[in-house]
Order: sequence, then C-alpha cells, then structure tokens
Amino acid sequence: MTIPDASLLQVAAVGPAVAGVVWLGLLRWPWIRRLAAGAVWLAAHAAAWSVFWRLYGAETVGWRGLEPGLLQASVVPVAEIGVLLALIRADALRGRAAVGAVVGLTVSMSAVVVGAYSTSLVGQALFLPVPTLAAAAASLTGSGWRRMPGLGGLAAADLVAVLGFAVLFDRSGSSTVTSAGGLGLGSALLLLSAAAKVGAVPGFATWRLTASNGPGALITAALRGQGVALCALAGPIVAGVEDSIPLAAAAVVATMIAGGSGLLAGRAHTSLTAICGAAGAVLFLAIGLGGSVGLRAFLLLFPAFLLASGVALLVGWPGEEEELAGRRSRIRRWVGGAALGVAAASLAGLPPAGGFPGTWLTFDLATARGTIEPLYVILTGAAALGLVAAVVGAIPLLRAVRPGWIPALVGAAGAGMLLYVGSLPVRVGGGWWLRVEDGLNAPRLLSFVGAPSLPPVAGKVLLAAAMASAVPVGLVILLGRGFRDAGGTFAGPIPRRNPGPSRGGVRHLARKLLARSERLYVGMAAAMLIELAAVWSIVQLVIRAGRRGFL
Amino acid sequence: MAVAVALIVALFLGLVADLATALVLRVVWHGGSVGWPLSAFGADVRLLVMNRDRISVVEAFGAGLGLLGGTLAAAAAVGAAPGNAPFVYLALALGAVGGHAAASLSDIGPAELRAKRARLQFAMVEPAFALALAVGFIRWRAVDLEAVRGAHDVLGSGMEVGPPLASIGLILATLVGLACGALRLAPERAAETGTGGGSSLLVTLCRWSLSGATVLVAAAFLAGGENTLAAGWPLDPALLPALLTAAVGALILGGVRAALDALPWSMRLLAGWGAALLAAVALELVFLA
Repeated sequence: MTIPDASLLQVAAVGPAVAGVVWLGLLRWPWIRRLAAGAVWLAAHAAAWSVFWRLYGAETVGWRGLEPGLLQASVVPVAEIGVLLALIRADALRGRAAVGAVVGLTVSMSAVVVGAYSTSLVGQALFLPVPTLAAAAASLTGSGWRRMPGLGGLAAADLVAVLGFAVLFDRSGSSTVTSAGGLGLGSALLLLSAAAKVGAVPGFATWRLTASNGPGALITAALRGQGVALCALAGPIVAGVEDSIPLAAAAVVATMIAGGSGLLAGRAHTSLTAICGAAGAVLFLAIGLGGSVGLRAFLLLFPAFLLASGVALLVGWPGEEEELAGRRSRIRRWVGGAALGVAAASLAGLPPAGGFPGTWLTFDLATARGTIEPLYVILTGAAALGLVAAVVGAIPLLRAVRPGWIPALVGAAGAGMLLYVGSLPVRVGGGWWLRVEDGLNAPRLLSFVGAPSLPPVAGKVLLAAAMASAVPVGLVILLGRGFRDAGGTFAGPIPRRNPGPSRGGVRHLARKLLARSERLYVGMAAAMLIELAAVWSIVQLVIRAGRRGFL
Repeated sequence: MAVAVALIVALFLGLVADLATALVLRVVWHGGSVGWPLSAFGADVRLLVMNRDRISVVEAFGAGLGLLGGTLAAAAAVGAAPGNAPFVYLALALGAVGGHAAASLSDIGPAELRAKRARLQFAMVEPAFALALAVGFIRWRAVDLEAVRGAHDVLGSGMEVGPPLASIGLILATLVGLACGALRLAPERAAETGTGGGSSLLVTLCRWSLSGATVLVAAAFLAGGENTLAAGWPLDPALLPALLTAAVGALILGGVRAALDALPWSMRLLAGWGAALLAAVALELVFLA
C-alpha cells in the first residue's frame, strides 16, 4: 500500500511540532513523555526519509505548495537528526528551560521542514521567522533572559532574507522558486541570511546564541538546519554553480575570525561556537568556489556539519548547570569526550571524520583554481589556518565535558556515523550526488570525485604506524596500571590576563552602558522592532503576491 | 617494519636535539646539566612506576595522535610511506597538535601557563613552517618526496646543485623550518613538583618524534635518500649522508631551541614572525633562480 504524497508531506511537516505538543502534554511523566514524543518524532522523521527516498527514485512528491526537490528534501532528515540530538540535551534541562527548549526546537523544526519543502517564495517567507521567535521564547525561560543574546542578529537575518525573497519575486515576476542564472542581489541577501543562521558570521545571530548559557542555545540546531536549507536554495538552486570570489573571501575571513575566537576562548561555550562557526563558513567557501566540484563539496559538507554540530551540542554544551567530577562520571566523560573529539575533528575537516572529504575537496578545488588566480591559494591557506586554530581552541573542551549516560551513548553513536561517512564518502553518497547534480543541471562529474586525491596510503602502512605509535602509549598505561581522573573545568588554550578591577576608560564605560541597556531592555526592544519589520515585510510580500494572482 | 624503525630513528634524533639543547644551555648560559633529558626521562619512568603518576584518557589519545603523526612524517621522509606534500604537512601538523593535546592537561599554574604559551607559539609559527616546507618542494619542482629523492639521485645534493640562488633559498628555508620546528614542539617537563610521570613521559616522546620527523624531512630536501629501502636500513651506507644531515639538523634544532628558551616569551613570538619573513625571502630566492 503506497502512502499518499499528501499524508507523507503533512506528517513530515507537522510531525515535529506535534511531538513537541505531546511532550508538553505529558510533562509530568518523564519517561512516558519521552517515549510518546519520541514515537511521534520518529514517525515524522520516517516520513521525511520517505519523501527523500521517493525523490531519489525519480518520483515526484507534491501536495499544494509543497513540492521539494531532492536537494531540499535531503537537508530535512539530516537537520532533524541534529535537532534530535539537541532535543535529548534539552530534555535534561530543568523546569521552564526544558519546556522552552523542547517546544522551541520542535516548532522550529516543523517550520524548517515547511520552508525546505515549499516551492513558493511566499510560503518560505511565511515560516522564516518561526525559529527566531522560538529562540526568543526559549531564551525567556532561562535565567539570563534579560540579555536574549543573538536575537537582534537573528531578527536582522530574517529581515534580510525576506528582502531577498522580495527581490527574487520582483525580478522573476513569479512566486515560484526558479533559477536566476547567476548570483544576483536576491540570492546574495539570502546567502547573507543563511550565513547568519548557520552561525558563520562571528559575533552575530546564531553565533551569539550558541555562546550563551540559556536554553536558547539549543535552538541553534534548528537554526543551522534552516541556514543550510536557505544556503542550498540561494546557492545551487537559484544562483546556480557560478563562482564568486567575494563570497569565498568573506567565508575565509569568517573562518579566520572563528579560529582566532577559538584560540582566545575563555569559556567552553565560546570554544564550541568558534568550531561550529568555522565549519559553517567552509560551506560558503565551497559555494563561493562554484562549479560542479564546489557543489559536490557542499553536498559532502552539509550532512557532516549538521550531524557534527548536533553531537557537539549534545555532549559539549555545558549549559548553566555544573556537575562535579567524580568516579561515577568518569566513563561517561570518556565516552562523551571521545564523541566530542570526533565531532570537533569533523567540524575542522580532519580525517577520518565526516567533514574531511568535503573540506579536502574544497581546498583541492581552491588550489586548482589557484593555478589561474593566485588569490585562491592565499584563501586556501588562510582557511586551513582558521580551521587548525579552531580545533586547537576546541581541545580544552574535551576535558570539560560532563554528559549524562544517554547523551554520552547517543553522542558516541553519532560519532560512529561521522567516522563511517568520513571513511566511505563515495559508498555513502555517490548516487545521491549524481542525482542532485542532475536535477540542478550541473555539469557532470565522475561519481568517485569526493574522495580526497591523497596518495593511496596503504592500509598496511597506516596500521604499522598506528601500532608503532600505540606501543609506547600502551606501555605507559600498563606501567601506570590504568588512567587517572583528569576531569576539570574549561581552561582556554591561550593565556589571558585577568581584567582586574575596572578603573575607567572605554571598557568601563562600555560595561556600564551594556548593563544600563539590559536594565532598560534596549537590546530586546531593538530586536523586536527588527523582527516586526521582518514580519511587516512578509505581509507586504503576501499582499503583492496576492495582487499578482500567486496565492 | 620500516615504519617502526622510522619512528625509532625519529625518537633517537629527537633525543639528540634535546641533548644539544642541554649542551648549549650549559655552555652558553651555564644552566642545568648536559644529561638532563636522560635524567628527566628516568625520573618520569620512576614516578610512573613507583608513584603511579598515571596519564589521563585525553593525554593518551593526544599522545597517540602525536606519535602517529611523527611516525608517518618520519616514514614519509625515509621512503617507507607516501611522501606527497599535503600528506607530509598533515602528518607533521598531526604530530604537533597531538603533542599539544597531550600536554594540555595540568592543574599546576606555571605548567598550565607554559602549555598555553606553547600552543600560541605553535599557532603563530605554523604559517612560516608551512611556507618553509612549500619552498623545499618548490625548489625541486616536485610535490612528492619520492621525486625529490629522485632529483638528488640524478643531480646531486641539494646544497651543491645550482643555481646558487636556489641552493641558498633551500638552505635558508631548511633553517627556517628547523627554527619553526623548535617553536612548534610541546613544552618540556616543567620543574614544578607534580608535573612528571606518565604525562611528561608521553609528551617527551611526542616531542622527540616530532623533532626527529622534522629533521628527517629537512634532510630529505637537502641530501635526498633512497627510494628503495634495503633490508639493512638504516644501517645501509648509502643512507649515511641523509642520516648524518638529519643528525646535524637535530643539533641545529636543539641549539635554536636553547636560544629561543633563553628569550622572553613575547620575543619568541617575534622570532616566529621573523621566521615567516625569512621563509618569504627563501621563496623569492627559489622563484628567482
């Protein structure tokens, strides 16, 4: 019996929000709410995979304005896995924070699904602000609610995205998503918004939200999914596969700033933000490099990015609670630390983690382009340094992880998936890449392009090197008769002086102004105004579309 | 087998570098004994066995990666593993990152500060190191150490083969690479009580393997080697020039490290930037030749 398209799409779109409502309704019974909501979430997830699988088999799936292409349908299930990991972390929060985070994540995910599946610019614009509002609501449930970090940036990102949709609508004369044949103003605005939502813009929007203590930081899993979907829409679908040096250069600058931020991080949240931000910027570098290879690199990068950032949030986000280290938590910390290590390696593009094939292909393409345009060689080197700096900055995170049992085990499973994807990229995605590229009319590439063009390091050589290097370590473990417990707090990689008592000057004045503005809710008011402007722009877009008969 | 022997050779060369550091410190600055690397190693083993001064999981994992990187780079330098340029750089980077990860855990203030400064040094000097490595490959117009060794077989030693500008550029790049190699290392055992034992032992091994791998790669650019490893490797006489060059490189690396250790920490950062400038000069010389 074939499930009708309408049912599949409805379940996929509405299912995550229903799961959140079920969770909320059964709030008093922890395990019952987890099982019931989990079942609903799994049903929605299965529906999303079914949509993907049908499109993979060259069928069309459509219902009213929801008629996704294979690329957009691919983003949804991967984003849902990242959000699921964040949900597991959110469920462990206490009181109102858990409610804010779980409901916010589930509602946001539904909005992301509808946005990804919709072929109408108006439809996408309508659901665009939902994750931002969910993040704001979740932040209000935390203890630091006065600050609402990142909300202004997210509201600005929404406004920019709506303007991008409006430009595309005006220029194409149609509310249906169509290819514009190049990177124009509309797609550039959408890419800027996508970068902010992915967390690639340092100190802005999702970046700031991830670096916060409150439950709003977990909503970033859905925001990243939305950012990737917007990036896929604006880049390969609307703009095509043309290269763009300004986009590539901006992505490299963002990577370097992220790396520097990671090196200077004094808190675990900042270190986590930096490594996720650096990885997010590499996505835009791949889009900026353009061509079929750039598109292939993007297809390799985004699943690993969403999964790895989800694992990092699950096991590495410390939240507001501090759990003391002790004998009972040692195994959990080791498992969680290993999972976080793999996630960080994936985000930094290190082998054999999931981000390596895409990062390698991006750098390979950039150096190939560098034979004609030497600027690309400099960009490649700078991006590589940014990633190395970000991963060096993430090393102290490994010591500070304190996950629960379920997050540690689920994180380990996620890390296993990342290692599998990173080791066998062609086996995992070869057919999918070709179908996506065919659907976007990109020039053909051979299926095995994606594995790095390293010399074939024979398995024997690697095994011999691994065994040779394991012998001294094993001897030290044996001589010491085990491991010592080294749990501790986060200690940043770079030495920083204590600020000491403030004695006037610009910094003191800035702190005073910040404190006063927090008391007067200036930031919150400004963010709300910007979001209202975005909502007003959406209303205007709907009215114009209605007048032209597109509703 | 050749891969394991490459690690042993690298560790030995790293020990030579440490002994050179001790010698220079003793002769020039009258500090410490000449044999402190060996005595410190012995003290660490004693602390590990008698006091059960164990390592943590993060240190074990970091040290494993550091030794793996050093092993792969050393094996690539001597021809026991592929010598593709990105592979060699990645192996050296892995060796450095792993060593710093192994040295990253310390609750003792001065030791923690030393580890943090070493990480900053590594990050600051890495562009210069990568550039120096690139100059070596560009000099021979090759992207693989196998091709570099082949060029040595046909043309002769890198220090003698003209044009002179290219030789000078190559030698300058090698010196810069050795200096940067000294700045990339994980910090040595601190003098404070409680910082020895298993952790210090593994960090020492990572440091030695990375030093040894760095000088072996430098020697491959200057003196070549053999692409086919005979059964008697490394005792094969045909390999002696390369191994002797590596030994001299280890002495230079150790001496540079002693000189840098005597500088204030901020001056070491300046030295890193100076190295980047010299690497750029070497690149220009190689291009002009």
